[in-house]
Amino acid sequence: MKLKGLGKRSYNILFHTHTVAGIVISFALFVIFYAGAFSLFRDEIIQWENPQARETINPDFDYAKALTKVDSTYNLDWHQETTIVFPNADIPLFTIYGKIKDSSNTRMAAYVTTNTYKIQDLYKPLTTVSETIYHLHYFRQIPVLGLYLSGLVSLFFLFAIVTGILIHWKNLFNKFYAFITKGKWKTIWTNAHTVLGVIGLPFQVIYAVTGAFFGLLTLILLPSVMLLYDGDAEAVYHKIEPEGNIELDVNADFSENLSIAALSKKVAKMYPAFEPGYAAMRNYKQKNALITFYMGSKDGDMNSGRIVMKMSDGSVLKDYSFLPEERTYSQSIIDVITKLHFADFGGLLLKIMYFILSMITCFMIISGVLIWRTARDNNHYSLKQRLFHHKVTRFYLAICLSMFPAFALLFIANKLVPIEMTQRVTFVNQIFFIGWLLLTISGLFWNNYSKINRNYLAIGGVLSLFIPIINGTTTHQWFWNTISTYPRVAYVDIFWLIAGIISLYLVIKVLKVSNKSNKPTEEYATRKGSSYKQTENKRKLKPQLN
Amino acid sequence: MPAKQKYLSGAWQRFSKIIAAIPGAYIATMLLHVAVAKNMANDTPIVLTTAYSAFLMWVGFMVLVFFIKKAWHAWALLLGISSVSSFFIFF
Repeated sequence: MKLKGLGKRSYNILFHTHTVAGIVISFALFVIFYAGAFSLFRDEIIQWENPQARETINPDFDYAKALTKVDSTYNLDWHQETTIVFPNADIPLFTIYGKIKDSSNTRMAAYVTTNTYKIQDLYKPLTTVSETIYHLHYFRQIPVLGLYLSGLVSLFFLFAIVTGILIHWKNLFNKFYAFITKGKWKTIWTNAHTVLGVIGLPFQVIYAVTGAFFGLLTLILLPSVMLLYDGDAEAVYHKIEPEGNIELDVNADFSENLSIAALSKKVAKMYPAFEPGYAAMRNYKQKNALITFYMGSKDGDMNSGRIVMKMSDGSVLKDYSFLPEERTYSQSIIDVITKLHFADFGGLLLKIMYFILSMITCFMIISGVLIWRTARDNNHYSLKQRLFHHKVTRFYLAICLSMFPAFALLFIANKLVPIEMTQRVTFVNQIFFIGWLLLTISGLFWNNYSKINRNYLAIGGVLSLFIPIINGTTTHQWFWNTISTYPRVAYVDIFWLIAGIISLYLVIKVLKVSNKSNKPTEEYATRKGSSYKQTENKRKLKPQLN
Repeated sequence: MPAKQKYLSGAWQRFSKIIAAIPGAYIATMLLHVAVAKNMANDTPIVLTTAYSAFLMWVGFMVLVFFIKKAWHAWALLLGISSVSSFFIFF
């Protein structure tokens, strides 16, 4: 079955924009998807990397005591919103985000261990595997511009998706099942690219739109803020959290309010189907203190609700509170976007599916680059142009494919750098980024694409196998023990074990590596009816991008 | 496989279209959204919907700009949308 495709002109025009947009964003998009896929398992990785997160929650943990201790360390401004995250099975730590009482209201973030009440500053963290990967996901290592850059990449990804679907519109139905792995390389790459693109379409559209939202949030809200609210950004934020509009007298009397544990218990009793995940409070310890509990459903559906309470007596402010099933469209949008992006609505199985879909998308990006290069490897192009295409492709492959061994190196560095060492986070990051750079540079010496792939898989595979072993020897918690005590820790170890075995199996048994260089030479089979020399004059008349 | 050159536009047209597609389409999209929000009794749903609809519209305009043959036609469309929206915002 065929659909009516685009006209000749529109087809060529959109094809060209698809190529240019795709090539420009390709390796940045690969980094985003690859790092994002690992970031889905942030909670699992935190427990794996940080020995303080491998604890059972103390059932008698005293929130007030922890808050007092944090206050004496940081001198918190309680009039500002302070967010607390309750210890849970994923992260058994009590986390606090607040503002410090100084002229610029500096932000602070710290967690308190539930058994020993030990404070750890999150801006100077103890370990940095998941955080490094998460920051890489939106290029936070590039100050200020990184986030916008990732947003723009996302936007052009959406553009590439739309143009890609339009140019393949005619054969769209075939693309659901045309898994063809035979024929010329160009055909193989094209089939892989288009089939995986069509099958992964919903997933990719979700991530293109929500990713653009997180990256370009400022750009999207700015016009509304300037033109509708005379530059008052708070007004827009209060649309999402209307209780922020309630003015609280900062000079209210101090009083003995109900404890957070008692309030939390009260909420849990009122709505047994929901679990308070975190809470935000203002004017803590004062008579007019307010606390907002953010409720999630234990069934893990898309929604979350909000209960606003007076801390003095635990009475609910009905106008500002709502349960997951009773909220309006406006109350849901931002939350749904967030949940869709962070994939925390379907448990571990959903995250595994999303991980696989991310890897498929990474493969699609690489196959796109290879189509670009293979389609240009003929006599229509001068040797100089062909060499340029080859260099770009090799550089892209080196950056992208070396991420697998580089990530394995990051996990190893986390365990090998002693936990007591000061500045260890900087050191681990240096090992990761310098390691990635060296791996990329070494890839530039391999002139054959299949060899680049094979070598990185081999290095990555060996490093992966070391990860569970090094974790076992340094922490004395082997994965066959942790599977019953800290399953998340075991999952990380088992993941790397499987990844290592699969990659080494592929390297030894499956991959065929040719020693023939992919570097273009003068000798080329002439394409039917034309050669570079014939088209050279035409091309000189029209300077062009490719 | 690479796009046939005879269908692609020249350097100036191309430059003009890129400017129209990125900042031009952004401005038209945002003005249109603000104009709708401004003329609603309750603007909250529109302001928050912008979080996703703006990107879809922006990309839609981008494709349209390249789809339209002449760059100035694309500019005329975007400027038309922007000025009509501005009229509803400021008057």
